[in-house]
Amino acid sequence: MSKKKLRLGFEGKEKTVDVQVPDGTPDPWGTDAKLDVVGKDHTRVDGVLKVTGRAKYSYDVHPEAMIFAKLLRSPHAHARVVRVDLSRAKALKGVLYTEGQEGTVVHYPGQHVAGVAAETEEILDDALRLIHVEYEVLPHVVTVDAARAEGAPPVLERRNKNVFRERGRGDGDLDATEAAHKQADVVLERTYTTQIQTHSALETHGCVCEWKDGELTIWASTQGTFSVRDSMARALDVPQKKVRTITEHMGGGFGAKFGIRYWDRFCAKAAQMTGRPVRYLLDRKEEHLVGGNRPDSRQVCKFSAKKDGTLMGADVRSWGTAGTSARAAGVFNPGIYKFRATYKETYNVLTNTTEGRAFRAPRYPQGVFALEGMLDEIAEEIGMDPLELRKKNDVHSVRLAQYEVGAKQIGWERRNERPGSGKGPLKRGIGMASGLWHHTGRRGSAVRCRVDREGSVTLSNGAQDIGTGTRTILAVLGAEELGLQPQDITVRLGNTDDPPGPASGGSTTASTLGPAARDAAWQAKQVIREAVADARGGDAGKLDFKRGKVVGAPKDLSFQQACGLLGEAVETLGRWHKGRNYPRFEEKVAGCQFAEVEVDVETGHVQVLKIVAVQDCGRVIDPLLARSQINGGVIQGLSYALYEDRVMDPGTGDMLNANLLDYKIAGSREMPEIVSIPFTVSNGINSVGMSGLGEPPTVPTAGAIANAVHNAIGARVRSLPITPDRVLQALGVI
Amino acid sequence: MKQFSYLTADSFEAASKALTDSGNAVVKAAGTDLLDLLKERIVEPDEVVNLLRVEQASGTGVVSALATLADVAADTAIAEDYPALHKSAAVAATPAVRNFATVGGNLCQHTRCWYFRNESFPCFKRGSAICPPLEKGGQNRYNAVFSHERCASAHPSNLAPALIALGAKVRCVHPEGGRTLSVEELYREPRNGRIGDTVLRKGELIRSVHLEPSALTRNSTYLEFRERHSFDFALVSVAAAVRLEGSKVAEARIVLGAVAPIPYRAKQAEQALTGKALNAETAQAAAEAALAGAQPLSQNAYKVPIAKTLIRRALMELSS
Ligand SMILES: Cc1cc2nc3c(=O)[nH]c(=O)nc-3n(C[C@H](O)[C@H](O)[C@H](O)COP(=O)(O)OP(=O)(O)OC[C@H]3O[C@@H](n4cnc5c(N)ncnc54)[C@H](O)[C@@H]3O)c2cc1C
Repeated sequence: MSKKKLRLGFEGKEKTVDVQVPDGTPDPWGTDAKLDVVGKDHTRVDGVLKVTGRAKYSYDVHPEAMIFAKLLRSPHAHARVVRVDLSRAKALKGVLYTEGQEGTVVHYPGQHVAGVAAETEEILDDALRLIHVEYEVLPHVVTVDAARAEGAPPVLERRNKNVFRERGRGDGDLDATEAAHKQADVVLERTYTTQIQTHSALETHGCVCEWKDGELTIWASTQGTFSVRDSMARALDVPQKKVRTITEHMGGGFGAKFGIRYWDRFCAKAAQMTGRPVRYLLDRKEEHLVGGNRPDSRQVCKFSAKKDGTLMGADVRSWGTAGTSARAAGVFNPGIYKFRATYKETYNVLTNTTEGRAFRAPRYPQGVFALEGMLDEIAEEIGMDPLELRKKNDVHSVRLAQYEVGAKQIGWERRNERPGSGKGPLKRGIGMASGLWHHTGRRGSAVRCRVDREGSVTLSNGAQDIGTGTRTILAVLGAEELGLQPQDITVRLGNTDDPPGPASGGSTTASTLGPAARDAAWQAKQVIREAVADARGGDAGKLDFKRGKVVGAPKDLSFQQACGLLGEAVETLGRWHKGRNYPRFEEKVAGCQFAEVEVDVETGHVQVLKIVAVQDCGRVIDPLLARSQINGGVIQGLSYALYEDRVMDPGTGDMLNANLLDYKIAGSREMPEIVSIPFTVSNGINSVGMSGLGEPPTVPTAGAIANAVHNAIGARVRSLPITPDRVLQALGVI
Repeated sequence: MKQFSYLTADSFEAASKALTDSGNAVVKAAGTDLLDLLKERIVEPDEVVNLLRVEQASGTGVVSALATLADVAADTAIAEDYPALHKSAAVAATPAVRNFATVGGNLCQHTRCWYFRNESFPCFKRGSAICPPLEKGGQNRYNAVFSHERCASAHPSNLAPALIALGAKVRCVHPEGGRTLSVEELYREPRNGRIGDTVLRKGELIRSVHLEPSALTRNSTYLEFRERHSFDFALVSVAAAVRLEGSKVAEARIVLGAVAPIPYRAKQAEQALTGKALNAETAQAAAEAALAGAQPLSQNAYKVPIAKTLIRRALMELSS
């Protein structure tokens, strides 16, 4: 250990802390770190591969003699599978494997009842239709309201009720909250609702499985290469070392792709039984039906405040459904701001719909939409500027600085002092909302750095790049340590034969692998330094790696020349260690967004004109990539705010819009001008000072847009998505 | 989709004959509608007859049934003489769809009703007695507000309301003899067990659309309202054509799309306008008259004010 000083914070707000740097690891970077490559714009190292179509996704893998698998799915939301007659499917030429789930009970539409593997997709399609299934249809409920109703049929036979209270650490104190309400000047009670959003990644779920000499290779579209390997090994009862997952490139996941699902098992099983490589990638309808979704919410909020803007009590009762799972339908509300007292009751409601899954910042966008709406309603009630109200009740030093940046960018002073006061049918408005996220990393991850005697550098890890740019970030960090450029570094990701990495969840991949990559490259550098000093003299510790050169020896060398002095290729393993975390400047990641919208009050149409997104992610490794992440979060948040909505038919219990025409996702013409501002904070955390950015930028968007809509029209839409229908209702036109 | 045989016809006559002779063959132009129906097994033909290679009709005032929406949108003569047609084609669908989708296919396309397009639901058009959007709990936000006694489908075509407002005709081909129909006559109320909305007989094909320029057609426009601009169908559309004599309306034709199972001619609005000056007040009165008989379902009342707004805006565009 050696004692060092570390400068934390951001411009105008810095502090110095003492840190203990473990031996054999690089010094952490503070605000004063002099960096050549980190913090500059770099295009994605795999960008050309992707835009030219050469990047290989699971869809592009076609092992010789590959066949196709698919499951037959129940059209009923709740039914007993009395009989599955496979005989006609089996008799069809080209059908190689079948299975049926006779005797089971399906609990949601789209649940599998049989499966087939066949030579071609066409034969497969025909075969599935030849399977005769006899169902005994049982009563179902597909909405929270129906599931909560008196006398509602139980969703799951083994449970006699549909509504489950979830208790958590942050549930607060009811008496204190009531007392706070009593001392307040205004108390508002409002109900906010949010819809179900399906993940709708461009690349659907699924995999290609091939057995060779008793070993299974799974080309999976997954966020968790290692969890796929491990859970498949367990499911098939084979040793882990006989299973390998490959995910070289990935077309999105958003939280719905961890571990294996039934179709993956079926695919591997069919491959085993037929001795042929098998592909099962869901079609779009299946993806909507069973891929995953963000639970909905009904949030009954009772908030109070003093006339001077001091927030007093917040009481939130929420109901939501994660389908057949009695977990995870809670909301992040209240939060962010300081209240005197808070209280929460969270109810998870079972419905006969597919299970909810983690979805980009689970619980947050829905909670923040209601929370930020309530803040605006309080501001209006007490006659205070909504931004002032937030500043008064926010203690996060980074967000307080971000408010200024965002307000200036959007021109906060342009907003309607009196909401809805714009002239003419096209009315403009401006609103804002905040967000927050966690600093995290995953234990047990390691990045290998290999430098050979010709100077080629490879960083490798078995986790995949979900599309956020992890590959590029590792290249930038490796390049920084070794005095190279990102394109000089080969980054190999997505093969579980390489060192372990995290599953991409909680915005942790880059912030786990980044410090590990730096650590690995730094260790390699020490070995090269020693080799140069041995051969050329000078002090190994003084050798510097800059712009492709090694300087400080009696004569400068190129990086390649220096590597040529190695006895053999160097291989190091860099790690992310929880124990080596450094003190944090702020405990949480902060962000805020400002929206400007234009609403046609005669049609209810909302056009978002501009979003300003100010987002902290610790140290910004590649601002270009960071802006791209923020843009992505904003786009998905906008789509959630205005369009996306899973529609179930209450009568039959089936999904009505399981396609990409009727399940509406924002497209190019819905896009506003997006001003993404990565806000660099030297935050300690780890040797790089980086944090995650995948989830936080989608947290505030819907709240900011909803508040802007209110500022434009003077009426509040408390339900997502904000459709023309709801705008016209809020305006009292219908 | 079910497997089928595929025949590329070299003339309308040959195509029509093949379709008439066969048991359940269907015709395909660009296939942007048909392919979805095949994939969802809403139609399961044994044979598909491809029309894309036949010789196309041409001439002034003649639009081939195989012209693409992009062709129509790019035609400057159409833009001048028939602004409503130009606009209806220019804003339809997406650039990619417009580059491929044909005029004939657009007129004969099928409703987007999500119950209709999902074989696991009952549907009046597909032979059931039930129309789920009309049932309790039916999800009918995009369905019809007029003429939905038995089927609540909304007609999806952009071109149809425009062509009706312009008084266009279609020339049809059939082995038993061709005929000419006004576009208005082309459509009829949904029939149980018939998925299409036209009066075309088995094997009958549209060869071309015919238009005659006039003061009415030149003073025409088309407006639509979509939830999502990039990629969507209209929630409500309106085509309007007005012939002014002096400051008075001598003739008006107002047709709404997506509010009824077939294009909806707003005759009350036309009457309300005829003989009057065209101004904000009369435009509003016409809009009110047009929607006076609307019977919104449980979830689509919002279509009514939107339709009124579009009618008023369209008429005001034509007032000068
Ligand atoms: C994403 C998307 C968005 C869309 N948005 C819109 C929109 O905003 N507005 C709009 O109007 N449309 C829209 N459409 C529909 C599109 O315009 C129609 O699908 C298209 O015009 C149909 O033409 P086609 O040549 O592809 O027809 P096909 O799919 O080939 O045929 C459609 C139907 O017409 C029949 N048919 C085709 N040609 C003839 C003929 N000459 N005579 C008799 N019958 C014939 C076929 O048998 C079939 O039943 C959209 C489509 C998509 C995919």
